[in-house]
Amino acid sequence: MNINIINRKQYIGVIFLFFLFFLVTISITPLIGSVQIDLEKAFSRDLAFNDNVDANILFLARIPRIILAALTGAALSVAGAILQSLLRNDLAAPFTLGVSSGAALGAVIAISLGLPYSIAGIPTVPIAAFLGSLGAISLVFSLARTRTGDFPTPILLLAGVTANFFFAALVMLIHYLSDFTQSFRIVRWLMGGLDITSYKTLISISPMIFIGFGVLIFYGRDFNVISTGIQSAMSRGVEVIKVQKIGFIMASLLTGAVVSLSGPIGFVGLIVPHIVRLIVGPDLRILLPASIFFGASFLIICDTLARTLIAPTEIPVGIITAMLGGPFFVWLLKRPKT
Amino acid sequence: MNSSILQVQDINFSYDKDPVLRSISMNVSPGEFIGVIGPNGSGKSTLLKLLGGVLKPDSGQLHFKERNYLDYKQKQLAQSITWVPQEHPMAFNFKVSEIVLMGRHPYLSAFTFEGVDDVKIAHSAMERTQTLQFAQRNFNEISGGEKQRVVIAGAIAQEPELMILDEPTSALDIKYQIQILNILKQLNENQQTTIILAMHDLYLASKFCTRLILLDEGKVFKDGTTEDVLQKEPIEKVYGVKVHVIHDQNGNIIISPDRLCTQ
Repeated sequence: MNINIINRKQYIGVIFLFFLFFLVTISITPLIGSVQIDLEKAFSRDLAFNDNVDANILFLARIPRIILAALTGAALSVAGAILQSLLRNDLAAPFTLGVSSGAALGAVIAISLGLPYSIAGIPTVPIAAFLGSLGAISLVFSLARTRTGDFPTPILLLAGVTANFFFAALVMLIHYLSDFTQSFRIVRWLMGGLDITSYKTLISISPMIFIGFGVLIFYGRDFNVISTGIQSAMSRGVEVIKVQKIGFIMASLLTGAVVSLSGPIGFVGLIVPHIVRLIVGPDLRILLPASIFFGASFLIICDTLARTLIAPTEIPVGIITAMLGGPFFVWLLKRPKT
Repeated sequence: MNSSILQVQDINFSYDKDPVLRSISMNVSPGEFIGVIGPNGSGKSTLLKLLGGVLKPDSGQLHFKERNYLDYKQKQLAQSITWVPQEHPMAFNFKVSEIVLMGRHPYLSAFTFEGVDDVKIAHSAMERTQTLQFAQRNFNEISGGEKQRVVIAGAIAQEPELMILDEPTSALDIKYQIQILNILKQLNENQQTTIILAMHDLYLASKFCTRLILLDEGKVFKDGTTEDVLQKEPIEKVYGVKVHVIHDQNGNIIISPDRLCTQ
């Protein structure tokens, strides 16, 4: 029997299929919504933009929202895939480990200090959220790691629950101490959602996200080897400490960037890497780029459901992902292990 | 001194505050087949991890070909030395062939795919370990003996000069034990790969190893040829059981415990 390995051509082919799926998703979903829009009218130049209702809905409401859903879905999925691989545990995800709560705490601190979203091009709230994520990962990592460098599921989940409670308590404290205006901003943000956005804020978080993707994909093979065991990976020539640090920092960067805008949206980072892994296998060189496109599409679809299920009322998208994610998580816990 | 591939000078290691290894020194010549023996908790696994470069000693020095381990880049060291753990828990469903190909990691730069040569090397490593027939299966679905062979195939694909294995035979039945040891013996004879492995079975150790290192509470109790080490006095002292050492007419050394009574 021969060894089948993936070559560059097949690699590009697989990624391209996921890209196509993404392309179809972003082409169709802007047309779906509580208000029917007329594309011809939206692109028509006969009306001034401000008077063109169809164009306003399309370009100012739906498209930025879809871009944010895409960035959020992709970033959380990649962060989830990396956390799962670094902790060698497929129940790890930004949400289950409390990394999202850490990001939330960072963002809430920035908001309550009255910081604008970005100062002189530096996105302050995302960076605060990034630092919060990094703090949460460091906490969970040091709580859950055993002497042999493993992360047993029960301890990892307990560490995640602990981090979640801890950060949630701090968020409540800040909320409690803040004045009425700040309090409103915090509540609005904590509910999570993809509806508050502008092209400017999207552009301000994009560098963080694309740097995260690029760096993580670059180290794909190193992450593969680490997921077979820390010490084995060292013996295979992986600079484990360095790669772990890079992985955790980049996962925090991704989580912080998107959580700062969309609030904590749960379970995306858990579900997407699993589904993609079932399709393409665990090789992160393929899993990561495929998760970018699939994760983006997944959250766009969830958000489209959120916008339309009981239109004109919108459901926060976090409720949709949690309703899918909760049962999925239980299935992961209870499924028979090979 | 100059001919040794590995020099260990007075290394100490402790987990937290418990000393696990105490002033261990040894020299290893190229092509040796060394068994590390000793009771549970005597420090075998830790010693092998230090020799394999996956743990750093608290004090003392390790030299590979007269160059300190610390002066090697991780990938350089991995091109010369590989360490094979005792157990292989795998969180994800990697295929057997993917696991073997990971042995090529030290030769590849970041984000490259394995090339034709890497596949050839992996293929021949799998041939030698008789693992080709399940190349496309999931690593998590094969048996313990098969897993051990696959991981050794990965180690062979790494093309090391020194291969260190932590109890590669302990969890296996006698057939698989012999199979693994034969693979290592062939590697040792054909490729001159230096082998250091931890073992529990003293009889098999005597059949395959040319040199034994007997550890006792983190110290080298005896280091020498199999005949030197497998004697009544050191074995009884270190393991705390009464034994008979029997040399049969075929030159086998059999350690027979005396009716299950401890000292």
